[in-house]
Amino acid sequence: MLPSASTRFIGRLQARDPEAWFELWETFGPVLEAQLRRWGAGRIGPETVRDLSQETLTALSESIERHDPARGARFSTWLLAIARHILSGELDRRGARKRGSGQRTASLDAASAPSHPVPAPDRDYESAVFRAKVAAAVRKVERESEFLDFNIYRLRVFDGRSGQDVAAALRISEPTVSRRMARVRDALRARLGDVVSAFSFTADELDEAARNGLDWNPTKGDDSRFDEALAEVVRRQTAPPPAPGRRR
Amino acid sequence: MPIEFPFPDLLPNVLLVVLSLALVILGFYLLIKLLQGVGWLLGRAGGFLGAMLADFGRLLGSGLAVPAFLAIIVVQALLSRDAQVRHYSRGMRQELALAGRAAYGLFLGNWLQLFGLRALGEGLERRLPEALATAPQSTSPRSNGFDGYTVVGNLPTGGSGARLYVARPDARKRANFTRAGRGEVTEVVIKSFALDDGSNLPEIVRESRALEFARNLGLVLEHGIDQRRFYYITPFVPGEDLGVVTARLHAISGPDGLNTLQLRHALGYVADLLETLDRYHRAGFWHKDVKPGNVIVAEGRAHLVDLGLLTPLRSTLTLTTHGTEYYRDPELVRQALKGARVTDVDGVRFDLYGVGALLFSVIENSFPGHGSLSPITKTCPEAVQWIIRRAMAELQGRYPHARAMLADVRAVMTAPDPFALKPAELPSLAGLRVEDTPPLPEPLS
Repeated sequence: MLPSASTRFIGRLQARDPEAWFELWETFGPVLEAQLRRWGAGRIGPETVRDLSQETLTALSESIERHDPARGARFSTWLLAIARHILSGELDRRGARKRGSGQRTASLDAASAPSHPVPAPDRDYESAVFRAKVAAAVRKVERESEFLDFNIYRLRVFDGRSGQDVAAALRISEPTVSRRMARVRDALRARLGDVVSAFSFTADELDEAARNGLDWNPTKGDDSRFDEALAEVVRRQTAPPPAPGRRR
Repeated sequence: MPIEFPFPDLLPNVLLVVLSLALVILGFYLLIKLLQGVGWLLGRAGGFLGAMLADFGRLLGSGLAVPAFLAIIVVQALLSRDAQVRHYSRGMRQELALAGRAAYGLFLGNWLQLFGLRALGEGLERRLPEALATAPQSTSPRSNGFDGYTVVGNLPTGGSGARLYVARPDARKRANFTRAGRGEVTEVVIKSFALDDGSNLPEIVRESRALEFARNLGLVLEHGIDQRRFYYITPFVPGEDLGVVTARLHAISGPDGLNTLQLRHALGYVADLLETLDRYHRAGFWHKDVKPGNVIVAEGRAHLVDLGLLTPLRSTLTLTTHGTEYYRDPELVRQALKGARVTDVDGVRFDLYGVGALLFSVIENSFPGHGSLSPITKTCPEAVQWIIRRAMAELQGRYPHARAMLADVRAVMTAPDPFALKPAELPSLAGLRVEDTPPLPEPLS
């Protein structure tokens, strides 16, 4: 049984909701780019990687109406299958162009079918997808929170500053720091639940947050463990990216 | 008391068994390593063979395609079809580039890869093609020259498809500029969109709109349009872009980040930029492409250039996603995808996001690859970190106008020790009054 948030999100994609598409791109675009870069190492340049990851989402938009997430595949595998299809298509096209053979690429439906030889997603990829979900939740909370609240949380948790230090920097009391932090933490838990549910097709994917110390149920997870786990995920997620692109 | 082995006669046998076992285990270990090594070698050899075959095929394919392209180009040239000639010439250039890469792989690259010497070929594989791609193009415009100007150089082209020429005005033009109160103009930049140079109509239309706005701001010396091209002329600011200057400031300061002196220089440039933006915003326009590459530092002052995306704040046109990745607010993209009109959004705050991202890049000597979540890893005053966060915050939490951000930047610049300044002491947090934004001018379409 699919999480209802996931069904709703797929429904929004199927309804061509531009915001849903942007959300998908903003969240998973960098993961797809990284994966395509790994697969295409030495064969395709950074500009092509960028184009292909956009093409992946275009292909997705063309196939989304026929997509049945109840097949049991993980969300991450689904994305990977489409990305791989796009890359194979590009390499085939290049080969065909060079050989002049006019070879055609396989259809996307064939790529999405379970029989298609999609490489099993490795741990790095799965972990990148998970981190992307967490970062999406953090970005949402940043947008929805008061600037001061979110930045108090950022200073305390992501930058590892003490409560006393933060209070002194902003000339507020320590209890105010704790109160405002708690507000952001609650919002983070709620948003994590929403985002992970929206981008999960299987129970295993749904449990991933709790397994990583990010249980969004406050009765189960303890606050400092949640903060530590979140800081670790954000730290890994925001490690230096590849070179920047040009105006587009 | 020493421990005695209970069966002394068996001791040699036991030692022999243990030794044999150890040898067997060591033998297995070495065998596995050997097999792994053989597998690795086979894999490498297989990869090498595959790459050689693929490159050979590519070279052969290009060998067939290039004469075909050439024949088509000759036929089109005979029929005087200029556009087709340019189109097929581009195709042939791509094919030749592919052939070059295949030949390189066949004769050098794959061999270097086979022997683990890939690093030796990096200069040829990456740095040389990059340098070739960014090399200045011919200084002489393909179309007729520009009346009253002598082209003396060119600048790298941006994403707009225009050609940028550096030119010297003749005596008559210089006298005209002086009479018009422009001062002594010795060199200018001519931004030219010519159909013969590969520009297309949408670019020309967009740029001509921006030109109109730039003229309102007094930023354009003159412009011209004819059947084949459109161009406009602005004063030339000789200098280096802020990216280059930032790299130098970091080289002087060391790997940990900017020292106090270099930090003050850097903040001075950001203050100049904010003053310029404030002038644009008050006049009712936003720049839409704030980034280090569009800030030129000359004689210690920063100048904002590239007016190609200049947009009226009250324009009733639909918002577009144009801008530069990492310096463009993701919210702008979100709003553009929703189909918002420019007048429905706050372009001022989008520009300020760009300034925040630019300040991040100055502090980090890198770009904010994760938007507002990008971590600041270099030594940086707490107050500056706060300014960056505030400029890149979500729309409601962001600085409302350039003057508010400028007041904070100046507070750090003038602090006796910028590193001792607390965020709470910044004007925006301390509640000091920064004059309110004036009303925006009437809508422009």
